[in-house]
Amino acid sequence: MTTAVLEQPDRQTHGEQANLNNTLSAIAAVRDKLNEALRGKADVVEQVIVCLLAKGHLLLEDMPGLGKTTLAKALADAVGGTFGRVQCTPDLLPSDITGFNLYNQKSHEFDFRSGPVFSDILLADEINRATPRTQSALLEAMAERQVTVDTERYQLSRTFFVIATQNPTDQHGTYPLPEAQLDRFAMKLSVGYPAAEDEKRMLADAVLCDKPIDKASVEPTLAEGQLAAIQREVAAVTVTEPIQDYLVRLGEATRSHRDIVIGVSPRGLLTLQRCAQATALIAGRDFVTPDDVQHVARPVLGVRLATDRTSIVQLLDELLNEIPIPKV
Amino acid sequence: MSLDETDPVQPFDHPLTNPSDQSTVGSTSAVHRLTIALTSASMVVGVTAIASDLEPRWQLSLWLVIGLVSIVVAGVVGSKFSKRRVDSVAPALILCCYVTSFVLEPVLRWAGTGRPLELVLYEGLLVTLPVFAFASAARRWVALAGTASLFAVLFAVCLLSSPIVALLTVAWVVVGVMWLLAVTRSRSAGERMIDQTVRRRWAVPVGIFVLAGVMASMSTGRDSLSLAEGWLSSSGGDGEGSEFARDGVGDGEALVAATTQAESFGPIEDAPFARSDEPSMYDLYDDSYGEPMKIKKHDKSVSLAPEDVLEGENDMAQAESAGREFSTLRRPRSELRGGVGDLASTAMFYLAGRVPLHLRMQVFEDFDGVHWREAKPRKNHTPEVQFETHAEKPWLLVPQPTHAFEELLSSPEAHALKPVHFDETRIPLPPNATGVHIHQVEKERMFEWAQEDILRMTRKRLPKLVPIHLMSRRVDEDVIDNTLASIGAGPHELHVLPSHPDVAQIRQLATQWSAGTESGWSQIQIVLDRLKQHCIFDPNATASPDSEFPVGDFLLRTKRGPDYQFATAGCLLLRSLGYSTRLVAGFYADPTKYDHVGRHTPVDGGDVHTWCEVRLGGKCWATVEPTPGFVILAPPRSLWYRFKTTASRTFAAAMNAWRFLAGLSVLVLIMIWRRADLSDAIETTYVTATGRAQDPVVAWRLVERRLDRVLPVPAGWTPRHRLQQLPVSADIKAELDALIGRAEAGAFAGSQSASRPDDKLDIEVLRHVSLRRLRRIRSEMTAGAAA
Repeated sequence: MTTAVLEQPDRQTHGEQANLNNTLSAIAAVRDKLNEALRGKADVVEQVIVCLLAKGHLLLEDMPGLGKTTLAKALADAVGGTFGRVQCTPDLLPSDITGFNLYNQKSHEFDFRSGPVFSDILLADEINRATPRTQSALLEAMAERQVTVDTERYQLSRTFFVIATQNPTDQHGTYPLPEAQLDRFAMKLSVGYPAAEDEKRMLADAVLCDKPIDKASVEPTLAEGQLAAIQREVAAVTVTEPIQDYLVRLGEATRSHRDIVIGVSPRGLLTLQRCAQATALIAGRDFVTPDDVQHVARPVLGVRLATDRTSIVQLLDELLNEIPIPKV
Repeated sequence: MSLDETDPVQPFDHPLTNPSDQSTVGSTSAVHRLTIALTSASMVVGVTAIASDLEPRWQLSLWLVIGLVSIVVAGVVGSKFSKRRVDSVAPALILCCYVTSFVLEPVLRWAGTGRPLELVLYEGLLVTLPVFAFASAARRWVALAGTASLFAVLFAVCLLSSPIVALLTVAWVVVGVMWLLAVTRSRSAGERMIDQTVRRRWAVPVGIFVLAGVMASMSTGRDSLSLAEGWLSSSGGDGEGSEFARDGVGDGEALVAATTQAESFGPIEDAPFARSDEPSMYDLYDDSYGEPMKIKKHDKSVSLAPEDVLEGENDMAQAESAGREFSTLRRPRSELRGGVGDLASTAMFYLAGRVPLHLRMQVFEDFDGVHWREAKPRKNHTPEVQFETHAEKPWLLVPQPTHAFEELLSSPEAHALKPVHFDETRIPLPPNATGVHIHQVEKERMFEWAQEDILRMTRKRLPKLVPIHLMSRRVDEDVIDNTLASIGAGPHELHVLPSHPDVAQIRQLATQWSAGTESGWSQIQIVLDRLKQHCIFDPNATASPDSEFPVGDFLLRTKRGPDYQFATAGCLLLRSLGYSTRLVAGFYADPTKYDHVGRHTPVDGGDVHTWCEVRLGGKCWATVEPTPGFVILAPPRSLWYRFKTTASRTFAAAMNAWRFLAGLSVLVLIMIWRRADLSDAIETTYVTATGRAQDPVVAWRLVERRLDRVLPVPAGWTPRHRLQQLPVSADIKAELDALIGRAEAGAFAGSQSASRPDDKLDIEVLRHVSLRRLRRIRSEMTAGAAA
């Protein structure tokens, strides 16, 4: 198999190589910008990019003030799209997110006033403070990439990407997201506190600059339509049968594990595969390896498994250690 | 998940359509309920099979109700428990219930209502069925419950073949199919165990082993059940007596004379007689060996030197007086009408019990050179016919040798024979018989001793189709030499040699063959072994019609003859060495004719046989077999004895070749000790020599196997994860990383491989991660951990 290809390098391969190099440099640029905005969190940034390229949505679960909003805004700036933001509260209505029809007295017609979902990157801050009704309006937008207002259907951006945040403490007056809705997120990440060095540099930067929070106001790095193109490339990354067998084994293991109440759904497996593809592309490969699957398995499975145990992380480590990987 | 839940078959419970339902118990409880139904069905079949003959009849119903209620109750209790709890208590419960049957057995036997071993085993299984109904609430016990249920039904079907059991089995099969459907459905809904993907490696070799066993048992051309004969303790077949056995020869109460189906003992319907309906022994001799020739009586002789003449030869005239005789000078069989072919197709009687078995019909002592004369009853040797009652059955006692021979003889063993077409009054008796029993025959006048050791019935013929039970003992050849100082003292007539010039040569031959051996059993064996090598067994060979001493022609000249010539030659050779011998004619129950289905051996006209017996002393005779191809039945050996004999023989053989074996052992030990290096060296040489090591996939697999041998990691670790943890230098890490990259490209890139033509693989990497280096790393790691 390998030798056959070794002997016939053709032009197409070179073309593909150039294309891949372009993609990789674009991704590197996005990565640099995000790293600049969010110091010392390269691994989080990596996963955010994976999530973006896999056309998934991201749930950030962390304390306030750790840079969730900064990350979202930097991402919007980097990919060159519009940025929308919703601060979720119990009195937030679905129309506050999707938009609403306003009667125009001049034209005697209803004009549609689009809501924040009509953006490329949407930050839904403290999503668990919104009522279930509002949450589900947002989730329809996330799953279908469209909204329906008064029987009228509106398409959202092709690269519509939601970063929702929630606060793990202070559960008073919140509406925890039900499992069915958690399943719509590709992965759950937590940013965590920066290291001492990074924090010191952050403080130093703040002295020079008036608005350290808005540090992320940066030039767009991706050309128009480039993100969608890269997302298509991701979907085309090769996943061979042994890898898919491995994915299925993982899925079955989560379903039959005695400590897991709800295992991964087929949709979850699809997401896992797409995220693994994105990881492979970021690594410059056009095929998925078991490492790619394991790299994204923790955040992807972590958002959608309901478990009896206190720590899902330990459980996932056990699972990934136990399930045999496809041998080379 | 109680029993009265909804319909067990839910067509749309796939997790995709109903994701929130995938962990609930909808399909599991269907499986559980069907498992309860399955175990209930097998309980009904099993209880019916073992309790159908209970009187009064209501007892069967009682046991059925008890069985069913306990299964249903256990099943309901199981569904109330958590799966984990069921998992934890099920093994102990199953074991306890199974053992109960064994623990109870001594008590039952003491009370006089014991059960045979197979029923003890089976009832243990039936008692565990409710536990399986309980345990199948947890998914992992369902398959085992199904297997137990299947086994219970199979056993029941083997135990009792009645229409009601067959009908119940069909019902069980219906439930079983539903059960299989439910199990398959629940599996497709994603309930597979994690263990099934990980820990099933043993299943393949075990499956192959079982398959090979089944194939092997089928390829032997025998009923596969017969392979276990003598190993599985059960009713019948093992020769052990037990009053609690269900049936079988010699087990428990003696075989009952057939009452309902008299001819079931052997397939006689398909065996029509062509000519002579019921042959007598003399008809058989003529058919098997050819008719005796009428010979001229003359006393040609050559005078011998006095030292060559045995004293006994002078007594010849005194011994020549018996009525019936056996001629060793016979016509070729082909001259006769018919022949044994007609008779060989039909059994004269059936023999149940261990074979090969020699059955005496006639005993000859005097030999005049051509004819053997039947031994006449000796004075002081006309025993009375005596009966003794054992287990309420009358047994005719056969006179036994003195206690001096007790050690030589094994414990009595049972045989039974059933005359079908047998026109004889003499009962074919095995050597060293101890007792004879015919159902309800207890009158002394029904029997008499025709000869020493030959019993006959005082009626026209043996009763047709009535089983005759025989108890007999085997001479243990292993202890003869140790227990008997000398063999051979006996009456004169057992030493007599005919007067013929050839006799001197025969004596010379015997002396030559036995040279260098001490007198005793081993000498007898050596002489007979030499005889077997010296002459060729040819049933159709006949002596020349004008022969005066056919056995001399056979032994010294033609060296080819039938079994009676071998037997005569054997007797004469042994007599010339001073042993007391006699010629015995009768039947040889041939083990190759053993019918594994009917568990008996048909004995027909072709089984007429002649052999020798050597007198050990008193009334103790040992059968010896001078004819090649015939085997003497050894005493029944215990498992321990067989093990001991094999072990001692193996040890002796090993001692003979100890240098070779020691060298081999050292070599094998070294190979086992360095097996990893050895297989690695072979593998490395192979892939390097064939150039396959250029393939990164092959190269990495080799490296991975080395890593697995020295530094194993969990199954879920990827190559890179493993590399990160490997304490090697950065150079080697980089090399390995590149190798992994290329190998993964080869393995996972599909048809559009990511390998590039400039990817030259450096085989040096194989040298850099040698087993030795990995071992050093491991020892450093353990030392570091210890520090």
